[in-house]
Amino acid sequence: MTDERKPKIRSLSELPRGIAPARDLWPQIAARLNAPDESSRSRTRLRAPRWQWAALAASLVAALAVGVWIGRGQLPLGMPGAGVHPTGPLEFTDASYVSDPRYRQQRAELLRTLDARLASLPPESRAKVKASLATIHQSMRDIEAALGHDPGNALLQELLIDTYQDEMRVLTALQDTGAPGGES
Amino acid sequence: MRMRPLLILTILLAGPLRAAQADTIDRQVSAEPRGSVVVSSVGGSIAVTGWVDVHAVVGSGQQVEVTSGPGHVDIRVIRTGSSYWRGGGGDAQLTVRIPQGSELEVIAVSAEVKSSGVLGVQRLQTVSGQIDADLATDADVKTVSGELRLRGGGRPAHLRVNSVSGDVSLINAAGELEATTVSGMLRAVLSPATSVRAHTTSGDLTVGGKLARGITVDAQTISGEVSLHAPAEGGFEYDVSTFSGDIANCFGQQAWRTSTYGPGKQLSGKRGNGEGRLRIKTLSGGIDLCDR
Repeated sequence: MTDERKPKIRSLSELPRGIAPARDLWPQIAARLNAPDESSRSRTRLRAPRWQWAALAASLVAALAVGVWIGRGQLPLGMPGAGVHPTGPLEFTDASYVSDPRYRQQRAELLRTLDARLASLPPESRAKVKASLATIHQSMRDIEAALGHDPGNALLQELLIDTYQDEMRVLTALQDTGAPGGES
Repeated sequence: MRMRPLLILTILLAGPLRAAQADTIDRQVSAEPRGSVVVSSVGGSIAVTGWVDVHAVVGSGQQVEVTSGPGHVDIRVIRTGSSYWRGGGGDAQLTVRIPQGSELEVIAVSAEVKSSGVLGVQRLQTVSGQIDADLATDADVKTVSGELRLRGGGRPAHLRVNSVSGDVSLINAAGELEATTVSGMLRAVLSPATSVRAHTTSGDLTVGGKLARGITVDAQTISGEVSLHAPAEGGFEYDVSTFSGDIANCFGQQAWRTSTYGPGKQLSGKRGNGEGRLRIKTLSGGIDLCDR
């Protein structure tokens, strides 16, 4: 395929979640694993713990890296109950680069209650918070777009992760903004 | 237990719905010289001052709940309105005088908070009200959209400041500073700081004053401008990078491009003995670095 026929990728979020191998590799792998190799068995046994740990560490690192950078989100794009906002709904960016299930779960929970939290704020504060969240999401989009052109850029990767953290911090801060003393 | 009155609280309940029946009530409760005091309210204002005198008067109305126990006093304003920001129950104006050494915690929604003369640890939190505070020692100050005007005590302390959209102004801060905003501007004058972690999204970040020997600075914005003009005893190594912003400095050094074809600039080097470590990075915000 020539370059002209390839679809242009403008952002990492446009990449497919996974690419299936051209053929099933597992039968051959399984056959190799099951084949006894007496000559190397003792050496393998001695070295197994180190290999296991190394393999485990490598797989975790790889999973984290892959999960963070090409993982795709499962969360809904829209913000729940967006209609209550006088200046229009917030557009929530999918956390497409973070695949940690705990993060996803916490974020989904915070988004679920965000509407009520925003509604409880004074109007001026609500507008400011919405603007700040919009700023964060625009930053995410900008960084993701830049990563689309330069996927290996460590600065962009770091900034993106930090921006996700910023969003969580704001959502958490809003979660903590209950009226003190209660209401009767 | 020695029930010596040490805490003075004067509460003026006033507001749109209660103007005609504004009420001032004083009440005395005991407080220990180094106990903790928690104040929470919704609207109006809260002013807290520390003092050496140990007399105490506490004022309260129907909507104010004051509880005290060993080493702890809790002052809580209960609103009766259907929505706390609509002023349904009137605004409470609290003036609280506490022993200087107390730890103080203030939780407010739209109330303005002022704190001065308190020597203990402070935790101040508001949603939309402004916080104006003297911070003698460790403090944790948070706001969503309120403005923060903070003054450090000039002695080493650990200050944590968080804002979403409110601007932050901090002067005379020494020791460790952790500050984050999203869109709020962050201005800090250090005297001197041993470590700074400052992070904004779109808010501009301005740091001045003095940096201590062996300083560590980690500053980051996405689109906000970063300006760090501060001398450091012992000098510092610096590593500055931006994806699409500009880098200026007073070292006479030119930033270099990190990529032949794409954007990206970097500046690194050493000033003085290089005992400190500065790391600044932005996406599109400009960076201005100087050790004077």
